Amino acid sequence: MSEHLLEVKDLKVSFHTYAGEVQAVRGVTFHVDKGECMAIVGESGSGKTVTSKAVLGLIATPPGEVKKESQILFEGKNILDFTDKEWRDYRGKEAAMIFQDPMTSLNPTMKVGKQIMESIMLHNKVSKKEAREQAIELLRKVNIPNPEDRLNQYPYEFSGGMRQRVVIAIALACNPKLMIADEPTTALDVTIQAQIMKLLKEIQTKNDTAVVMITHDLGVVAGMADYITVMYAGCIVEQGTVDEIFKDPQHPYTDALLKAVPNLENENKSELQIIPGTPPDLISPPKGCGFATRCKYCMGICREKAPEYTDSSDTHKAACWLLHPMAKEVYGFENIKEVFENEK
Amino acid sequence: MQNKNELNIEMFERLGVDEQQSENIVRPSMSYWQDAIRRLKQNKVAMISLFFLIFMVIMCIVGPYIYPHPYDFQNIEITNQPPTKEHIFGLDDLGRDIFARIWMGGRVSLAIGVVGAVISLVVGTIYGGISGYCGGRVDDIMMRILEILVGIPYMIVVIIVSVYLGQGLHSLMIALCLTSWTGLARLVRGQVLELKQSEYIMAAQALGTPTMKIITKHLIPNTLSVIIINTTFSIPGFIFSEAFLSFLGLGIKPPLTSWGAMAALGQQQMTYYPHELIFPAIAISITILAFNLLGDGLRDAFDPKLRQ
Amino acid sequence: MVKYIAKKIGYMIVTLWIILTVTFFLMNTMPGDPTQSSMKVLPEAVVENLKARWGLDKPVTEQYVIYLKNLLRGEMGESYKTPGLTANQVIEERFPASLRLGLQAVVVSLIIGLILGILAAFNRGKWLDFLTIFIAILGVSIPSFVFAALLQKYAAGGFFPIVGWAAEGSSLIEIFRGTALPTLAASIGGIATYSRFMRSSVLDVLSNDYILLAKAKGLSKFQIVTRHVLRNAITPIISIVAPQIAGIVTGSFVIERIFSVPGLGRYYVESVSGRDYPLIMATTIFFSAIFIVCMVAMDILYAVVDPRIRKSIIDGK
Repeated sequence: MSEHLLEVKDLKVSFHTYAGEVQAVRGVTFHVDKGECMAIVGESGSGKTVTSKAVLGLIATPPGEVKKESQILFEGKNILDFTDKEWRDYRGKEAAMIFQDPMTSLNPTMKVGKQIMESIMLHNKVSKKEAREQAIELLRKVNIPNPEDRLNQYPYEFSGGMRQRVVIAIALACNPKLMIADEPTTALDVTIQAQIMKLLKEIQTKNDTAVVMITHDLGVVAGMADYITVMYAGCIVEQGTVDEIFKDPQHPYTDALLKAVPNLENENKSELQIIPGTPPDLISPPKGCGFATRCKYCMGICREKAPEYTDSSDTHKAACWLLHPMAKEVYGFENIKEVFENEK
Repeated sequence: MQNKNELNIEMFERLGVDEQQSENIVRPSMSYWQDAIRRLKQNKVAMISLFFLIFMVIMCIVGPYIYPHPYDFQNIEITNQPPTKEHIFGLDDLGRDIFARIWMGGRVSLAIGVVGAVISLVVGTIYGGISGYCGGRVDDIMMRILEILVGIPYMIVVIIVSVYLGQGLHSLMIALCLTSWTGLARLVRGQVLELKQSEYIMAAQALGTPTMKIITKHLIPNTLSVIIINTTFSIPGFIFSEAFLSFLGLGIKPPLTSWGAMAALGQQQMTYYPHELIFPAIAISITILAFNLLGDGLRDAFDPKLRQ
Repeated sequence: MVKYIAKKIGYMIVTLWIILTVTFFLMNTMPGDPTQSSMKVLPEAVVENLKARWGLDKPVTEQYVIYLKNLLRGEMGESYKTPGLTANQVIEERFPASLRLGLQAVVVSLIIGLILGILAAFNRGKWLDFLTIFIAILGVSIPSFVFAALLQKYAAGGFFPIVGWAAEGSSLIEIFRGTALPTLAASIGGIATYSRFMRSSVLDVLSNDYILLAKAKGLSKFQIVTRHVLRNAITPIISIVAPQIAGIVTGSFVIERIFSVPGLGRYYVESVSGRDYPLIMATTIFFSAIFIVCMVAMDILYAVVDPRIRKSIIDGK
């Protein structure tokens, strides 16, 4: 098998707080290839942001700690072994990040142009003038009108959507091979959300950039992602292509998430379903499945033992005891879909 | 790989959602004040400071009565005596017992601190409250006056006014309080303005909550913490200012004394009799330290957001 | 922006005018005529003469107008106690030492305080952080006159003189020798305040996403600190420098006295104790003017440095 652009293997991240060790990410494995878009979906506290920050080495240590057995391979090299110098060359040039809140992710006292040029000049040997030209070009690329004037303005003179475009321009500055977008549209209006997503999609296809998109909204990624990873309580519960996840969910959590997305095309006009309860405390994670306490289909085994992954295709896997042959024996269903549908 | 033998059919029995377990993170409910007091009690440093301050206050009140040496008795034969068993803090240049004087001086210093803080609290809260509550023109005029008052250098006002009123406890107090309330007034005004616009007050009004209840349940608890914290921090300011003035000879006049006045006398004798400076200096420093630490503790307890 | 500065200067003038008016009338209603305060009873003619000389024979309002006119011409009055000695002479002679002490104290406390605060924030939870917190708490809890007295007792006497000051125009070493201890004593409060404030300001800035973004760009730690952290963390400090300057002015009254610095602060206290009203008035107004100008300058500087403040001013708050 050929080498993946980014391969995360058994990533474990903990935070040491006064209350104890919070195991925010508990063994996450996925990979992204060139030009692909992988969406990581989950609710707040599921460890998706921590995962994305780990990929850029942005976890503050202390209080954070990336466990030794974790591996993050970028073009085959484990970035967790990087020296400071290697990190600096990797960040911004090879991989870039877009943050959630454009209101706080730009330096308020530095002109926008300077913030873009800073990145260009750091990684390329160009003069200030050339960097300026490139920055203008970048702003044009992300559809900011009058880039020549905008360059000399401060972030407060931009609207939220415009700022997020600037943040994207900064991320694009050195044509990175990998772009990580941490809820890039959460803080924006719905109409702006669509524009930003469209822009990201364009960039992805035009530059053949791999994108890791972090979101809590399955609806947002439907048109953008190639693969979806669903995270819950620091673990991956299900992973597959967009079609597999949307049409053939294998895990009750994924199913519940899908039912929580409003959908106009939904013929049976079923009510939006909520997922009752709250995620488990990650200071003392449950020994069984993390979702067990909120799961309608919870079985005795779910509280006792963490489920293993069951593959249903080359690209599709899920961790749930319902997929175990014994569960099928007990309840007598062929396909997990039957279980989810019978419940209505 | 999982061991098949460990799994048996019974384990796959369906349980469904466990309401209790999925909601078990609910904590016992506690009012804001209970929670704040609980946090304060947990803060050892703040509690030690509080007990120390209570001790100081009690000693200043009863100290002069139970200690055998009067604070103004001049034992001219043994002036400048270092600490002995009889006079545990020693004697000053006029042969007066320093231990006794610490408590008498403490009365003045602490009284000025507390009374000053209370006066600024009352004036500042009323001024800021009216300004914020009325808004509009009244607010505009009151804030302009405040802006001018803030621009006046504090210590100079205090000196000029105490020159005018003559030296003494009362005039000192008036001078110290003349512009000291401006900070709190601004703070209270800001709080009231913010609360007036806050959505939860609007929500309370929309729900038909009586005005009195809004004031007692929302306005007072939300501004009171700010006021308490600010007042605690302002007490050391008054003690400091008094000490400065007395040190310069512009404050309290003999036979009354204060820690600042004692330090001023001690400073002149420092080369040969350092104990005369050290004891009053320690008294001021530890008291102010205790007020600051208590203030930090109160701030942490009332407003965990501010914790750094 | 121009409007904002004009408004600030307007306030400044009003404040100054109020201070000088209040001071004038307070001093004028003070019991005791300067002509009577001397030990011996002066002959009638001499009293009349003195009164005419100081303008005391005219009604108070007229005196006030004359005083204002003189002030505008830059004449600040003449001593009652030492005939012929004008306030201008006193300020000219005494102010340089106070100014040097004040400036040195501000600079020293800013440099040490900011560096300590930054180091503490970057070493949060380590010994340097605890040391800074310790210094900050001690610094705000111990009065500067105690520090000054301790410095005088334990640091002075060898290389550093116990009292005194460096004359203007002496060599650098002499200036250092003469001014180091008073400056240090006057700086302690500032060091404590700045280091504490800077520490929390840096921590505040570090928690922002733009620092993470800067790191994600691939900037080195040094570049992040110099380009992104410092400017944003120092800006709020400007707002506390102005009150701190006031603290140094008042602190200098005490420190000038302990170290016998020939400064205006000490002279002010002496003229207050000696009830030399024209000099009290002159120095009060002079100190107030400096204080107020500093405050306004800091307000304007704040607006210039922080584009957000500038915006809120232009938008008309």
